[in-house]
Amino acid sequence: MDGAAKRKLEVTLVTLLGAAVAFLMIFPIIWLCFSSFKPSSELFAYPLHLFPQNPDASSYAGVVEDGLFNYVKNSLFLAIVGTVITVVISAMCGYALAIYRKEITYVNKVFAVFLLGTLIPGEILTIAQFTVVSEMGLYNNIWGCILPVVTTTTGIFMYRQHYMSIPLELVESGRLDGASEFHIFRALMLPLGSSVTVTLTIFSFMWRWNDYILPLMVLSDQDNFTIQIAIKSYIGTMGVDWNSILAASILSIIPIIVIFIILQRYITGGLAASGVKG
Amino acid sequence: MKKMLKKTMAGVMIAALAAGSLAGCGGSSKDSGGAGGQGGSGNAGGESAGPISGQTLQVMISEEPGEGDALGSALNKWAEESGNEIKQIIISHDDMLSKFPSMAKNNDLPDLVATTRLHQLYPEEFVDMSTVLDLSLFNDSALKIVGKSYSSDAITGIPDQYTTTCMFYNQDAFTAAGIEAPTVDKPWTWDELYENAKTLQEKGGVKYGFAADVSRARYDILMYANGGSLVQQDGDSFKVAVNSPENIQTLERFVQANNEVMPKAIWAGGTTDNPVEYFKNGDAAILLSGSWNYNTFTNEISKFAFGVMPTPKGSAGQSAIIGGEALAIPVNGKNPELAKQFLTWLYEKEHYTEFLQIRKEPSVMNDITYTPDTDKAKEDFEIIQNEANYVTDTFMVDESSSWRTYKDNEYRDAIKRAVAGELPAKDALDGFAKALAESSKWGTAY
Amino acid sequence: MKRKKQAFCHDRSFWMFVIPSLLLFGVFFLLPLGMSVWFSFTNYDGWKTMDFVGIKNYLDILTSGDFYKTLSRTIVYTVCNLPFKIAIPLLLAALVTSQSLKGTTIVRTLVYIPVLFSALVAGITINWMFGQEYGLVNFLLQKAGINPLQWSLNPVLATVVISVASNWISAGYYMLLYVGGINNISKELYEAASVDGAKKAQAFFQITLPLLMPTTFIVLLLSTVNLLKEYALVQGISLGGPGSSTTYIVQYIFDQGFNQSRYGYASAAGIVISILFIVIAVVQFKATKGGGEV
Repeated sequence: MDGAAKRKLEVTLVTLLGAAVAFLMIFPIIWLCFSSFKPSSELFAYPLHLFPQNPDASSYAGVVEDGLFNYVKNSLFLAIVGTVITVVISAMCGYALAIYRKEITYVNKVFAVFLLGTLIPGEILTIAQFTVVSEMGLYNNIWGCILPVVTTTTGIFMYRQHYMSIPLELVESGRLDGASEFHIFRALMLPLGSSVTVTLTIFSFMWRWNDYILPLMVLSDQDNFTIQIAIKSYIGTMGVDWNSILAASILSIIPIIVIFIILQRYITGGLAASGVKG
Repeated sequence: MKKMLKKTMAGVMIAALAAGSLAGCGGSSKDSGGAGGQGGSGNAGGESAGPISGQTLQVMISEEPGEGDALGSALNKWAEESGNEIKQIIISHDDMLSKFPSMAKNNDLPDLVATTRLHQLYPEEFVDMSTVLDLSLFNDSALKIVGKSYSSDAITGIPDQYTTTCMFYNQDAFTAAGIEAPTVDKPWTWDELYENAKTLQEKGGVKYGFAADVSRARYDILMYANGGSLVQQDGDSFKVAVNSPENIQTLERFVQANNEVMPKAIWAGGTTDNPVEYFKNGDAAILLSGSWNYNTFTNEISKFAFGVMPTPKGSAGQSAIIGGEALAIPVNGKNPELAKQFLTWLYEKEHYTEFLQIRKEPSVMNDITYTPDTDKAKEDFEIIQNEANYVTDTFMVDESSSWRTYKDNEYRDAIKRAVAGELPAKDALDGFAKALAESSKWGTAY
Repeated sequence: MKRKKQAFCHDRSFWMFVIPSLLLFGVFFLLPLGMSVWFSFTNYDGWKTMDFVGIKNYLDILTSGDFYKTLSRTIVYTVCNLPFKIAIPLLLAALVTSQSLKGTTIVRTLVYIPVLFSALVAGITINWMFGQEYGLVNFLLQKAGINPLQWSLNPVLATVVISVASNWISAGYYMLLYVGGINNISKELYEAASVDGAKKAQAFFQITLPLLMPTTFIVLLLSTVNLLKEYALVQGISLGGPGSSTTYIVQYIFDQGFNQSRYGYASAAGIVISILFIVIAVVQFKATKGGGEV
């Protein structure tokens, strides 16, 4: 076999493998999607069919009628505002932790405080967190679901790693030009971190979109509920409303997949920086 | 840095405290609603109460109301008639337990709650129903079991749903296996049921002969039928009796049945599947569940004919458990008067009759009954209603002990572990008995 | 003098940058953490009762058989899953960075999509696949003439389902971490290796793997902590069963706290496992020497 043919075979095999892997990963959700178009009489009917025999979008109509779009709107607000704050404060913090590491001796101690955030399971703090939120008068307020969660160690960590890899001379030259510290950050350094920004945007959006426990406890006005709470409400005492839950699940993942697809081509660079410098 | 942090924290604390005290003020100056409009207490007609209109009634329910939802329709109709509005908040059943305290802590309780246990767990948080409705109009056991507080005799909720354990069967499977369904006069024994379940599994074209909801309120009818109970009366107090020899035997038999004729995963607890789906799908021949399914089954089962059969006899006779959901009015809600107005309206004869026609369930009021429209449904409904006669004294004693205040899910978990084969039946029940005795401070009988 | 002034100025700027994060972190994480420590010495029920009970909760935990059982089950689950949490993303990364793969972006996107799902939706999806009665996997097994497997009844299989779900929703994320690491490896190294006549597999083991050590360290650390914290997924799939065979430590804490209103006890258990997590993380950090310079 000559080189070119060998290469071609390799491309074919590897691509087939890639297709198989991708299919395997995505198949459960395709199956869920097809099932969501089955009428309830077909959902559990053996033998199972991949395609609905009598496709029927009534479960979608049902969840939309239950106000799903309103819940989507609330989740969007939570996710967008939360993400903007997360990105801004993480960038500032991670930047400072990296840039002042030579000048300020206690930088790593401050960083260590934030690291507590990854090691301690946040779940165990739920009640105490909720108490703080209530005492601050943020009960039944969407901000009560946003402010407690916007500081993320992951975000700070990603920016810190990224800015560690940028030569300090760049900052020095800015200072020599007489720019203020904040100006250096905003005009010079922030654009350099755009890959991290994109990555963190996706992550943060996803976290906020999927938040459950805190919004459940904090929000008490049905009109303010998020999509995850709405999905859970189809799991009732007397059984699960499978039709609705499948449709609501599918609708709930569409926005986040769209955001991901729009932003994903920037993601690799960001993660490269976040992971570790090479 | 330490200093800085201290300062920051101090600032935070001050801010938090300030916010806290503000919230406190808001709470104490809370408007107590239409306080002038009461006076119709105990009067089911409610003529003397000045009707409130133009306000919003906040209702907390546990699931998105489905089609033909009785409570939903009643609420809407009342709102239209009285010129008020309805605002729903839907919190799934399991989450209500954490949601309710969090609402209470923020003075944000709804006006009306449809719940299976909140009013029993926290009676001091709910309006005593004897000040709202004439309780003599209601079925006594419905009030006691569904409406009564765990810790006192106060009725803190009015049952809107009254259900009983109920055995459904797949008629086609019975015919195929050559088995005749038992009748009220000639019920099966539990041993016969297990035997027949085996036959059904072999010849009835079903996967499982028998299936039961994963709820201790289903399992316990086996226990009561064999003369067992969770506790025994001990003067003014109780003794834990859940690990009695007869209960161990009952559980051992149940474990065996799970291995032979039941979908074991349900009771071993590794799935979120609901056996009701198995029955609807024709995969389980006999289903131990509750009477509330009747309606859904009528609408959704078309593949086979189904029926209702009386509960089997154990060594001590037949047994049934009744339960349900109650409507309760939080004392600290924003507008308890409005909720009272709705309840008074709902339990007027005309409105409650209409309510029952949608709900198709046994009535909680003495003078009102529900009559199904087809002969078949009438027959079935008679069997269902008859089940309430099998409620045992042992069940009533257990209920009066309010053991669930101390331990609840642990009981089901103990049974689960026995069914899963993690523990022998005796160890599972001994373990639960010990835990219950510890937290209730009751003695043990075994 | 000037030097000193500049240093002070940097102090101020540093705090200016850090304070928004630190303030929010302080109020919504450290303060609740402090409160939880306090709760752990009380019999707080999450609402009405809160009396100081000393170290009773801690004594109860340390003498509770269920706590140890749940904890050791959690550790076994974590240890068994760690190899997969590293190997699968690494192989996926090798695949999507391969020069021979056509449609890299599509494959990468599709592999990543499950990461986006909430535990709730992921649980629903996995249930829909692995349901013992009506799940697709068992249906296909039956069609192939194999006996359907007891996904919800056999403790090992139930754990396998949870593990599959856990890897399914995390593989894409760790894969991207590895992709980043691989892209940072200089191409010249490979060219040099191929001049030496090394095969691709050899190059992978001799160049890629060692140079990815820092990434592996991160993946190891993150997945250890996340596996130890596994909760929401279990809640959506097996509810901790059959029996208690998939009940892990965070669920144990939640059950105690929310379902039984023993928030004091739950807080104490939370503190105990947090200390344990920190010890594990520090040991990993030391053992791998921080994966080189992090």
